[in-house]
Amino acid sequence: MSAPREPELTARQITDDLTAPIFRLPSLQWVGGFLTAAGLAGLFGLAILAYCVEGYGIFGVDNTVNWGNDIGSYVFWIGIAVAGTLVSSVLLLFRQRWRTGVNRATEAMTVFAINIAGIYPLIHTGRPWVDYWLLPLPNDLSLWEQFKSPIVWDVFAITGYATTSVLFFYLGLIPDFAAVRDRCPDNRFGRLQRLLYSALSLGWKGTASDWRHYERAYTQFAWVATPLVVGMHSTIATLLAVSLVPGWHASVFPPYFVSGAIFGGLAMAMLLLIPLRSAFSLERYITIDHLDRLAKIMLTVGMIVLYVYVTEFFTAWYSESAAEQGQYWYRLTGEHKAFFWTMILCNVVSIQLLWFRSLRRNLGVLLLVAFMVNAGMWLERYNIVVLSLERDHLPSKWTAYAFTGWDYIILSGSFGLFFTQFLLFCRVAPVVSIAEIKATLLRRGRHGADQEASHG
Amino acid sequence: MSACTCPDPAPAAAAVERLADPGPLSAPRLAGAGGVLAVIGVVAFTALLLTDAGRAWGALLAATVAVTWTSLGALAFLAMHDAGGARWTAPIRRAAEGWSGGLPLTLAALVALAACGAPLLYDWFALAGTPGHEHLFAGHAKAAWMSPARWIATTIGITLVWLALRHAFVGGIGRKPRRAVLLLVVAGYGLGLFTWDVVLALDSRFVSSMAGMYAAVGGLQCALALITITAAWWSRGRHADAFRQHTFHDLGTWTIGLACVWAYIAFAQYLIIAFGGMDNETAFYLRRMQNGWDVVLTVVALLRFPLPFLLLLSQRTRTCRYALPIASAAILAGGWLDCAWLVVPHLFPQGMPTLGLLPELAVGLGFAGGLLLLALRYWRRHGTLAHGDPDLVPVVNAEHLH
Repeated sequence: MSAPREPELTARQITDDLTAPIFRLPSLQWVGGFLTAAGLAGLFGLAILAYCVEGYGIFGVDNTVNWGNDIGSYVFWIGIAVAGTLVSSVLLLFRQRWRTGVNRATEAMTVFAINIAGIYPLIHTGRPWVDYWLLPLPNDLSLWEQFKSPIVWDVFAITGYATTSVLFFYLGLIPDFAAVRDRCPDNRFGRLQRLLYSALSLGWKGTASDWRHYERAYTQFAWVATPLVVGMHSTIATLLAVSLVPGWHASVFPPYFVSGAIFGGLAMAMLLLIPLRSAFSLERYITIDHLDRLAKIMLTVGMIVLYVYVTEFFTAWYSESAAEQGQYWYRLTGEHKAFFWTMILCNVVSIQLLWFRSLRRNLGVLLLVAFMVNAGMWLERYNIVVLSLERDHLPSKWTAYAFTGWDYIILSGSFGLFFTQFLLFCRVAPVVSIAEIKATLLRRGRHGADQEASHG
Repeated sequence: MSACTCPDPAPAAAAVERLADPGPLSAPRLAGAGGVLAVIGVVAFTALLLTDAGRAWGALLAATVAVTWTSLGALAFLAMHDAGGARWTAPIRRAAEGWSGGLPLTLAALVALAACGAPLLYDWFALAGTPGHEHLFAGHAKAAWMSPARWIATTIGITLVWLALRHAFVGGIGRKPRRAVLLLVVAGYGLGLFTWDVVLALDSRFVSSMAGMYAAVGGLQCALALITITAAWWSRGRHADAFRQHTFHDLGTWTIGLACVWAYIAFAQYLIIAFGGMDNETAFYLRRMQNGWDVVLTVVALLRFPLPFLLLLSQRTRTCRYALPIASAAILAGGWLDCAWLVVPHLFPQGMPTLGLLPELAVGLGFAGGLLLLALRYWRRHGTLAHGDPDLVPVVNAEHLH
């Protein structure tokens, strides 16, 4: 592992490096990126406003394909959220110290992705002003949720997951907020900042007792978050799989969705981390080795996803069900076959580049693969949701789904909203966990670089 | 659990600079026990063959599935860690390699099944070459696929490839990440097809795309149980200085983790099939969830998930000399019972056969004896500790934890 030169790094310098973006004026690139993303986020809001005024008919859904872009994109964003927690909590439980370079950014990704994901089902109900009916509230008609419905399970799964991931994220930020608080300049704006960060750091003093409680709570949250994250995405998979729609009813869906989510989420993490490390000069903290390891995990889960693709087709053929076989044949050769084959190119072919170490350590290649995998994973959800509904059991119902302008707007707007949140986050909190990276880098300085290279 | 006062299997000790090499393993009493078990298996199988041939082959199939999944699980467990660069498995490397040696039993059983037993287990196999065979399937393609020649070629071919990969992977010194990756890809993809052919093909209409994952997780769980029991055995004498508390803690954590994953996979498969209500899928479960088979399923579920999970939840019990092997033994029992539950109800849907599952257990013990003998042979040749492995002493001294 080509480690940064240890003698150059001190605890003070690490804190200075990682808090610097909070105190300096934003660069032009940041301002440009932020304005673009915020503009798209504004379009997202506009699309929701138009939908509230005009109704659901502004989107491309119809009586046959009644789950279109909204549900496909919902599953996509949930997947992004899943990977963030898994990278952070699972790697923590497996004692993978290299996670400290990337965990903060991926946890932030989780929180921002899940709040976007949460918007989709809320607007998809058709009457978002009565969405509170999803909660088990007493009412005059004694009507309750259908607890046998996976849609209701989904509400609980996402609510539980969102709560846990926000707390997990926030908990990790507490010592870093305190570090920022202690570096606020002594001027009017600095005092305001100090006040804010003091509140956010919850009176953190950095005593042995603080650290003991913090580390215990952080590990326990990781233990809670891991099954929750798997459970949540499995619930979403179950929501589709328990139905009899061709292409949905597959027992492998829960682990398939979880591995697919990790796959897509890791790609999104790469898309964020690679520009981030150069924009904020974090090359010593988010190293090529980190990206190399992320790429290896991405390749592993990508191969699991490929296994599921093969299994799905084999199962459809083996089942001798005309509807299942027709569905998969439609994906291969139907009018939307380009979506399927592009998905294969992005999710299967592109990741084969990651078998080669030199390509895994090439930032350009990594960015390309990450972008393709993100596109591929969105297309995968589109194929599952839309193409299955287009060719249901009843041929007289068959239809062809197409995006309207509002679908394009809300889709691009969701990316805008995501990047807006992330860019803002980069300006208000350290994007690498100061406390954790210090523990890793300073330890490595003492014990030698090889200590971190392999462990567990 | 936390109040458990049982002694640690290997209490914390001073750092070691080198580990003593006790030489090749010589365990004549254990080899004798393995031989006795193998004889019991052969006698039970012969007796069953004379009284109810179908049942005999069913018992053999259940044992074959259990041994295959477990052997592959041991290989995959090691390969996963090698591929991921993990070091903590250095002390248990030889144990895992030894237990991965059951694939020759798989090969022998498949040859015997292909030659004699398969027509008694698979209706499509028995009807091959008759007009009835075509009528079992809606299309010619599947009829062609479900043919004895293809089945024999696929199952035996996959097993031969696994054997070759195992040969290239086990033994030697240190981690082998490249071979590990190849092994994982080939074993993973092959296991899916193998499970379809050997287990799901009992009912040619049943489909479950989860089958490969169910087999993989089940095999990993049983392999880990065997490795854990072996480590506990060696820590009490042969390698008292090599197996420290932290290794047992890691084994215990993995045991809990795999118990959870098994429960997740098994329940997800059941839930989706039950909610879907498709007759070709639910028939598989219905046959295995009535007339007494539901009791077997309950025992399988208890042994594979809640028992090890609850027993090992506390960190204290996870390194306890008794709790970890007890949980592992329960998992092994659950693993074999699971395989029996997959196969035997297909032959006896009306309920438990005469003598319950005792004859099947005897045949299963025969396979266990065979596996034990193969593992002992491996340890006699390669030793029980990977001396020379650069990771070994640092891991024993828990340097990877600091």
